[in-house]
Amino acid sequence: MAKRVLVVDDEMDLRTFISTVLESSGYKAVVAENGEQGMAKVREKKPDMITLDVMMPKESGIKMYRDIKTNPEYQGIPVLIISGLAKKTFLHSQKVLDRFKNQVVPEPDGYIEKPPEPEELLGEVRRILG
Amino acid sequence: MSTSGQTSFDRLLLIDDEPGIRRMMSLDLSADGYQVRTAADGQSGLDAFGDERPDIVLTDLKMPGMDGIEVLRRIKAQSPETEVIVITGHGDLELAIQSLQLGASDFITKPVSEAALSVALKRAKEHLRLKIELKAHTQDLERRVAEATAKVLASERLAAVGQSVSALVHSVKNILSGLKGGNYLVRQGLKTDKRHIIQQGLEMLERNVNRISSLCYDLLSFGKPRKPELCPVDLREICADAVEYMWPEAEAREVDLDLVERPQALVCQVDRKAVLDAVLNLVSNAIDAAATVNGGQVRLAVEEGEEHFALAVSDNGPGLDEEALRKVFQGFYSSKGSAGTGLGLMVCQKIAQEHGGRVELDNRPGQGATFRLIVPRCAKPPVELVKAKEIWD
Repeated sequence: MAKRVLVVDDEMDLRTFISTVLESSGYKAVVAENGEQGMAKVREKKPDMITLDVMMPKESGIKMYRDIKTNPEYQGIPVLIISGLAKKTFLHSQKVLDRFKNQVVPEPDGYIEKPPEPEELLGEVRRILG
Repeated sequence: MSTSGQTSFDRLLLIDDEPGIRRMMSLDLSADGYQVRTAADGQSGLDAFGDERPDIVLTDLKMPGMDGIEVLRRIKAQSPETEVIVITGHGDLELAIQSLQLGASDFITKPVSEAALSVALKRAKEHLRLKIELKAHTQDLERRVAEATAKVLASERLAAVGQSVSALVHSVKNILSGLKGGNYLVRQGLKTDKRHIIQQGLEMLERNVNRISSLCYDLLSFGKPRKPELCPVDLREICADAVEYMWPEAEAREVDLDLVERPQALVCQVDRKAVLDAVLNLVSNAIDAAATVNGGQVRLAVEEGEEHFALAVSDNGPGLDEEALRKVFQGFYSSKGSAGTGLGLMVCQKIAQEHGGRVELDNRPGQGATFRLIVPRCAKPPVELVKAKEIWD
C-alpha cells in the first residue's frame, strides 16, 4: 500500500507542489494548512511521515513538531521540515525551547530550506521512509 | 517689551496726573539713562503705550478719569510681558495689593524716593531679562524636542524596514517555491502527458509572477518618499472610480459591490491618484473577505466629521481574528496565504499619513470589518513636519 505523507504548509502552491512531487512518485499525500489542522490530520489519517513548514499562521510548525515528538503515540512518525528558516535557526529555537520546557526533543529526521528542489525532496522522503 | 530687539529695557512710560511729579521723575530717570515718555491721564497713557510699547510702565493709581488700576488691567491684557510699577499714595495699601494681584511687578509710595524707584526698576529689568531668557530656552527646547522626535521617527522607520527584511525574505522564498513548483508541475505534466497537471503548473507560475509584480509595486510605493500632489477632489468621485475598477473582480468573486449614495459633494484637498490607490487596496481586501461568505457585500461610503472626511470600505466577511488584528498594519503580514504581499495596508497607511490622516479599523468579528481612510478637511503636513509641541499635545 502506498505510504501516506502529511504535507503541512500554509501556502497553497507549496502544498500542491509537494503533493504532486510525492504523488508522481507513488506516495499518497494528505494536506493541512496549519499546525492545528495538521494535528487533526495526524490523529485522523495516521500518516507514515510528515513534511512540515515552520512559519504558519494560527499554530506554528514549531509547536506541532514538539507536540508530535513529545506524544508517545506519534513520536515515531518521521518529520521532514521544509521551511524558509535556516536549519541552524530552527535547531537553535529547539535547544532554547528544550531548556525552557525542560524537555529533550530529538532533531527532525530531515531538513530542507525553501524553495525545495523536487529531487532533494524525493531523496529525503525515500531516505526517511526507507 | 522693546520691539527693536534691544535688551537694555530703558524705554519707560510714566503716567501721572500731577505735572510736578511727571517733571521731577522724568528728569531723574533721564539722568539715569532712561528714555521717558509721559502721559497726564489713563487714556492718553494707554494711547502712548499702544504707540511706543515701552518696556516698563510707571503709573499713578489715583487719577481722575481712568484710574491706575484700570490702566494696569488694560496694559496687562494687551501685553502680559510688560512690567508695570504702580505709584501709590500713603495709606493706599489696599490698592497696592490689588494692583499686585492684577500683575503689577511692584509698587512704590509717594513721595517717591530715588532709592525705592531705582530698586523697583532694577527688579523690573531683571524680570524682563529672565522672561526673554526663558522664552529663548523654551524655543530652544521645543526645537530640540522637534529634532529628537524627527530622529526617533526616522530610526523607527529604519527599524521597521529592518524588521521587515526577514519577513520580506520569507515572502520571497515562498514565491520562489511557487515558481519552482509551477515549473516542476509543467515538466511533470509534459512528461506524463497529463493536461490537468500542466494547467495547474501554469496557473501556479502565473499566480507567483503576479505576486512578484505586486510585491515590487508595493515595495516601490512604500519605499518612495513623496509629497502628495494636492488638488480639490470630490471624494465621491474617488469611490465611484474605485467601484468601476473593482467591479469585474467583485463580479467574478460573486461579491455585491456598491456605493452608499450621498447627494452632496465632499470636496477635499487630496492627491487623487494616491488616495484612489489606497481605496482600491482597501476594496480589494474587502472583496477578499466578503468572498469567503455567502451573499458577500462590500460598501463604499464617504463620511463627514467635524474635522475630517473619511472614505469607508465595509465588508460583511468574517472580520479579523486576534492575530490579524495584532499584525494587520505590519508589513509583509498577510492572512491571504498565497494571495497577498502583506504590504497593502502599510501602503494605505502611508498614503493617509502623507495627507496628515490615518487608517482606522472597525472590526466586527463574525460580521465584517470597516476600514476608514481618514483625511483632514484641510490638508496638513505629515507628522514629521508638525511642531513637536503639537505632537505632545
